[in-house]
Amino acid sequence: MPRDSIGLLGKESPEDEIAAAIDWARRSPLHRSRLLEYLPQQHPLYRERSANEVIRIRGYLFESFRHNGLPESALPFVLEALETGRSAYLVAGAAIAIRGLPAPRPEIIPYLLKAVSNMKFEDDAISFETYKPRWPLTNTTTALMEIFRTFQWMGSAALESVVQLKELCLDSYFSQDVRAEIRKAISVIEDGARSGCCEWPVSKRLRRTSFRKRKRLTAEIAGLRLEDHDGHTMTFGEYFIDEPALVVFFYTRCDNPNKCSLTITRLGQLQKALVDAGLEGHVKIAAITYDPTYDQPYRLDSYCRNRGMLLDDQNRVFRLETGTPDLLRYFDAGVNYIGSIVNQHTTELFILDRDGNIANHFQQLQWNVSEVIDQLRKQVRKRRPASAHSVVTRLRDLMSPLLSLVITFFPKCPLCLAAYVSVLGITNIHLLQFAHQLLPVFVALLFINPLSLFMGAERRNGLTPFYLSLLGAVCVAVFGLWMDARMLAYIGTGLILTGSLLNSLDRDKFAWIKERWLVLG
Amino acid sequence: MIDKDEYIKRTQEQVTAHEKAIENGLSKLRSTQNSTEYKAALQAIPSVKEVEDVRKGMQLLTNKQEDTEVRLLVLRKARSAIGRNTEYIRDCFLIVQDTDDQVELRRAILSVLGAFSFGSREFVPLRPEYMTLLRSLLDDPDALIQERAAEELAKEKDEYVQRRLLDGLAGREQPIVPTAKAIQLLGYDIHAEHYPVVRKILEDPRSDETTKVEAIHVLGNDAQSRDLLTALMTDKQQPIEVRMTSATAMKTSNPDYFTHLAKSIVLDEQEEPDLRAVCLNAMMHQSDPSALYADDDFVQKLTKVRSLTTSDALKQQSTGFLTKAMRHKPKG
Repeated sequence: MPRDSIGLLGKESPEDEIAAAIDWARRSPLHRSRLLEYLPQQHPLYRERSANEVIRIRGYLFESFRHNGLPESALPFVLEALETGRSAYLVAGAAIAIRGLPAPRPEIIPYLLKAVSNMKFEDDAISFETYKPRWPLTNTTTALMEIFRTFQWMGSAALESVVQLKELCLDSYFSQDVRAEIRKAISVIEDGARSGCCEWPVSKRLRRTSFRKRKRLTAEIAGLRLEDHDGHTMTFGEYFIDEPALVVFFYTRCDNPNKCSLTITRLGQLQKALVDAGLEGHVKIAAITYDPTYDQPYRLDSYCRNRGMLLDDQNRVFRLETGTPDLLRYFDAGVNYIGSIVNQHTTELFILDRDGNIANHFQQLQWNVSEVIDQLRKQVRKRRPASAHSVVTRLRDLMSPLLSLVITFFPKCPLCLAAYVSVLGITNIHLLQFAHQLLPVFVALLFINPLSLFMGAERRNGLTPFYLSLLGAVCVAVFGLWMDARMLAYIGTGLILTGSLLNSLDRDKFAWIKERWLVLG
Repeated sequence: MIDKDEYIKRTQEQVTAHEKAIENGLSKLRSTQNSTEYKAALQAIPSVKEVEDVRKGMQLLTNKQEDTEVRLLVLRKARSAIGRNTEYIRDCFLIVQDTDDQVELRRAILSVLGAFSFGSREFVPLRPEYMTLLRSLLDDPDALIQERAAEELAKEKDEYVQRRLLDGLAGREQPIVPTAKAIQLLGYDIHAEHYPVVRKILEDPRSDETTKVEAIHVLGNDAQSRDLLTALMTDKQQPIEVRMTSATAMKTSNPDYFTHLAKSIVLDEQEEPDLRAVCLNAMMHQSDPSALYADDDFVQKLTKVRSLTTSDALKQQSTGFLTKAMRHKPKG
């Protein structure tokens, strides 16, 4: 495999060449970033390949991230496979890929649990030892086994899933081998949780929406002719004008119940929520098929109505007689084809402004109704003067990061609580009448924080947080107690808190900060 | 007419005799060591349910030296009990896998496992093992077992079987099933990459009629095969079965274009009456045939077709169409 061809894979590349490129990147972690460009479903690499071939490539690609690390930008694709995947090979590859993250993240748990429910009746024997293996194979694994091994890898970060795992352990639909993996996961998680809370990362919200640069509607797209479920035709520009709009893509022949069928069902729920939110009549809704040849108006009509979607002048489902590829290019839709048949697609939702321009979109992960309504409300409010209500909304928006900060610093175990009390006690000891008698206790407790950071240094973010905390403790002890220089003691307190905060950040974020700001360690 | 009490008495006697026969059969099954008596005992009982009896039955089923008929009887009578026990299901896997075992029994067990795969709760945790078994059976020396395994895997849209079927069709390896069967099995998944290969097979003049019909069924889902299906549907040199299947496939994939072609076929007196009848029938089963019924020119010409044709099928379909057209006519 020539090194340079890894970035040149495309529609014509034979599968063996693709597998060789992935194998090569697996052995050379420095080149993993070159695999990232193959993650979007619309990449030409997937054109004119069967759905199973696409699954083979993506599953193998996902699995390789375990060996050379899973970058943040690849995470939504991996989580999407866990959330909606119905193929054991793809889901197993995604579950294994999670173990390539720098550190476990609790927000992954719902996706792993969804994958368990997706795979419960679809589990299969698989192998990643070679690409396109020839059966019979002896050394196989299964998707469920790999999901529960990922729970084991999560350790104490998966503490919130223990109750569900214990329930799953009693479920007779799982084999003895799978249940053994669940029991092992429970034990690893509980053991990890007993060792302390200081290694817990700050929970980072998964990015579900992309506010990329606004995309302007072109004359070519505005002129595309749409045919709705009733057979009425109109141009794109005629329909998507005057009011903000919401667009989803789907096709009626999709055989994954977690994708198109669910998208249209949820669109029906969104329509009801829009009525409750008072946005009915202010927003247009459109579902557009990926498969216009097969999806004739009568098929679109019955498919959408059967899933609870309301169809009227404001809410329509469309097909394009011609120009579907142009429209998909405009939306940069995550879809690919073999002939006229869709071979893979993502779940996506677009919000258009009053002029038909793409304002933002939700891609990869299933969108949730309240997030979409928030975005739509913003579009509806545009061109209206700011009101007192918007000030309240902004204040409410500020509350979320503030709350995260409070949670970060809130002592989560008795030892941390003792360390915090000690810091505050020493720096303000002059205010307390009999506190000097407790001085030795305060000093001992003061050094618990650096000690816990030192012990957890290997698992977490190295020795830098420890050095900061130690320096802070020494400042508090020396300046606060011995020299009575309270200002310097407060700086020491700040250093202890900074050390704790850096320790609780995930490795990627910490590495970024360290690279730019820190000279210590 | 039989006396009511007499009838009840006779029925009770029959029930008692039947129960006694079952009792005897079960006790013989428990005590005997002889194949002939096992056979007689198993034939006498409707099913094997008791734990100990099922265990005994499984000993017979897994014993390669035992008479095939006895083992088949055990499979039939203890089927439900086997489906409720994962260990017994695993024993069945081992028998099917064993190419030295009796092929008739292996085939029968494979059918039973197919039924368990969607009807047994206890089978769910064994799915990965079952899929592994089926994949290994694709290279079984028995062609029927190979075909049945391929069929089960194809229903699951399995990647491995699709790969093997395609390699067989493209001549890259020895086919595991006949060409027509391979096309049918690949057709279970519209997302497979079989359309180009199947199109090539359909275009090949050496392909037999059965293979062509299977190929047309599959290509009905493929928009890129429209021209090929149109050519077959309108080519009077093609066998009637091929033309009729093409018409049905066209109706699914491209209803508007089908209607356009079908109208001219129905009105063409030189055409096969069966094909004309099939086209007319298919036209009436469109999602919204009201535009068709409103086509006065077509309705008028069809009236003439009905009066002239000697084909019962075409006459019947024309009458049906014209009746519906009358009903759709605007009143006044």
